[in-house]
Amino acid sequence: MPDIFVAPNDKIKTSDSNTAGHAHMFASFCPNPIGVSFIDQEKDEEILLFLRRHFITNVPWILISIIFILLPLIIVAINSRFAIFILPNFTPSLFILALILYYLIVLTFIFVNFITWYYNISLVTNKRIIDIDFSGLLYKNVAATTLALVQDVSYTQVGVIPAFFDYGDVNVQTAGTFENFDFTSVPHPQRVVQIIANLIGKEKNVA
Amino acid sequence: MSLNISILEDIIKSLSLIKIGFLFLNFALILFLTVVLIQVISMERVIREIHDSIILKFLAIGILLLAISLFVIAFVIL
Repeated sequence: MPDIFVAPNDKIKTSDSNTAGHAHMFASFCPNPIGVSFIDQEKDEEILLFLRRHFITNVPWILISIIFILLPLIIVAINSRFAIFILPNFTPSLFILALILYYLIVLTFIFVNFITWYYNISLVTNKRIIDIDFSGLLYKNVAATTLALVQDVSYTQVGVIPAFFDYGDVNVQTAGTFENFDFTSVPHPQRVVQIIANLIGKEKNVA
Repeated sequence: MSLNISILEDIIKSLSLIKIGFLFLNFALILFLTVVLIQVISMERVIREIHDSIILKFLAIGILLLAISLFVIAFVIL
């Protein structure tokens, strides 16, 4: 007798070579990442999802950096033509050193903004959800919760740009007095919600 | 003659101020980059990605060495 209905396989694929990938430097959404580990990771714990803010959220500071890089050239070009700015009378050596220092400061600005984005990571494993917050250089917060404590997961996507680039905020509600987890501006929020929902559904079935 | 000497003294004073300001700014940048490097190394313990974490660490060290070199060169030249 033919099967009337075959239930879909709702198991989350783990260590699947078709979905696994290297979480490269600019990755924002990487299922089953290879070569990634974190502090306090258990031996049988696998990272299923690696998340960062969508790279498009870096555009504001990238544009500011480009302006800062071009600023000395623009000032010199305008001043040579219109003599608007009164530039200090530096010696050539001092001028070069000042210029190098200026670009070093700009490079530092770019680097700090990049690592602020780079180290703000959210992880979904087969056991836990981990949120690593790194902001302002001196602030670091690592929060984790087990899947059993997750009660609900939802996402919001507000605006034209988030809709166009498909990124949004994922909110993970935990039980009791534990704080909720917010994954800000992550790519493919619907998929993230789907993966976490499947995982918590699986945990509840096991329980 | 006395006017020329006073102008010369002013120029010498202003140059010293510029040098002091430049070196102070450079030193502040070195301190800031040291903090950045420490944070990069501490974050490497929290989350490890093969290859990429090494790149960032060496980039931080490179920028810091560049700032230190600039400080030394400025101290000698200016």
